[in-house]
Amino acid sequence: MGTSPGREVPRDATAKTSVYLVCSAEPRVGKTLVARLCFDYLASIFDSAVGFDTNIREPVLASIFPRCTTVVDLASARGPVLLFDSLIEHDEIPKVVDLWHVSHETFFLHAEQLNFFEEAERNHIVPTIFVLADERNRFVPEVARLSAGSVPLAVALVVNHGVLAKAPETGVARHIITLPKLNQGILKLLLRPYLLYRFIHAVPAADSEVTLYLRNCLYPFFSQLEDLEVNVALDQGTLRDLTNSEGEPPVDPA
Amino acid sequence: MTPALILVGADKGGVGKTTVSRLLLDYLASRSTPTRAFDSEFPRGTLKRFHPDQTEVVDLTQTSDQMRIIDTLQEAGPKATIVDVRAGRMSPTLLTLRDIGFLEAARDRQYTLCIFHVLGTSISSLEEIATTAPFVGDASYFLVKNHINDTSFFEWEPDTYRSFFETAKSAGEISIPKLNELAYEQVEVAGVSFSKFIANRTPENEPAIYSFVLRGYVRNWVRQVEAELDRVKLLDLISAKRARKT
Repeated sequence: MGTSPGREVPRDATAKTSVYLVCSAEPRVGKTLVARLCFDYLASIFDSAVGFDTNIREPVLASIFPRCTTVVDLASARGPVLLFDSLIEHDEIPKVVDLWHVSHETFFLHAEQLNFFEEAERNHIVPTIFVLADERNRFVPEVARLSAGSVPLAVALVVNHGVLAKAPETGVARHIITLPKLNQGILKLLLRPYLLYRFIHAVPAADSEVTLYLRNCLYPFFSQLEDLEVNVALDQGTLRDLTNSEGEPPVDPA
Repeated sequence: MTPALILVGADKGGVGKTTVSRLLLDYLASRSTPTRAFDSEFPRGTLKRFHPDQTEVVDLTQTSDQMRIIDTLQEAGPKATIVDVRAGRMSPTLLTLRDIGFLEAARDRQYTLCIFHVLGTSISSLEEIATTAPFVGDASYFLVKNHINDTSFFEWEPDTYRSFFETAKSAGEISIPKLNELAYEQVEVAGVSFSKFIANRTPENEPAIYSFVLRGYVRNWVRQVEAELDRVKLLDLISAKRARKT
């Protein structure tokens, strides 16, 4: 796989630490696939990322990126301590949590008890929550609840066409990300620790048919993540690298 | 304002008396009520370890130390005095208070007396209640069920329970909820008050690096305890006005 220099991470006082939380109260909706792609995206552009896999039975994310991912048992006494203490740390290393549906309620219960989202805001952590759409529409109250919290959260509804037979009602979400149905070859490839975002940006599209196919399948998803990141930064006024000291966009001197 | 004496005790050991005393000190501090404490676990003083600035270690069997507590209640300064009564000394302490006329003075509203009787899980705690009841009189008497270690309490024998409540005028019940064991352990290791742990401070009041999660557990737990103390109107009780002397 090709390598390209990662994006320069801002180190000024306004720097933020991104936390991507991929969740759904429903099983088999594609949480791990989305978490894997999010990890891929963040690790590609920031040069490093940390993952947390709360599925203790089948920790697939941890099996793909074993060196960067920790398996956390949220039902244990130490699990929540390990997870939330890591998530609250403002170290500018982006983090991805693949939240097992079994741990879904436990996670949000802990988050509420610990005032996690309030503390995160104070600690320069920017959580982005990806809620997977499901056919039973359990995502609808979930997105509404998360969007209506006392701390404004970036909540994105992920519509995974690989598992949904029909398009869900998306009116509830401000940010919508769609994931096309991926074929078995791509899904198998995604079980390996490749950073595909970096790859499709580094290798010319015309390099091979495989590269072109890969780009066509994954580029739209990655570009939606880019858009989401920009939108969240705009919402939160943290788009520092695109603005000058007066907070205005830089002007081409020519 | 009537000086308030708050006794925290039980005849049985290891039921969480010092934990309750620590919670009361934090609660009163958070409500801007100047408070001092006496730790009767002589000479070790567990309470003093967590609240060193407010606590003196005393030997309740010594008359000189009894004078240090009672004779200074009227002095200007702290409005409330907490005595963490060591295991086995609850009944003797109440007996002493009766003998020196303190219980009578409390009845005449020269002092406010609150008793926090921390219950153990065994049936002997019921017997403790029966032993303590005759001394309680008009004091504000609270039975504290400490669930901090996820304790499950015996089912109270209804007749004993009822007969006790008939003898104690202002008996109430307070539940201390369970606290995450790791969080409790960390506060013990840190050797700070619960409020300092939540505020991420060392014993010397310097910034500390305690776990965010464990601080969150402690904060949430302390809030629940404060809600219990608000429910029984502890502040109103210890802010009672002194009776006019005739």
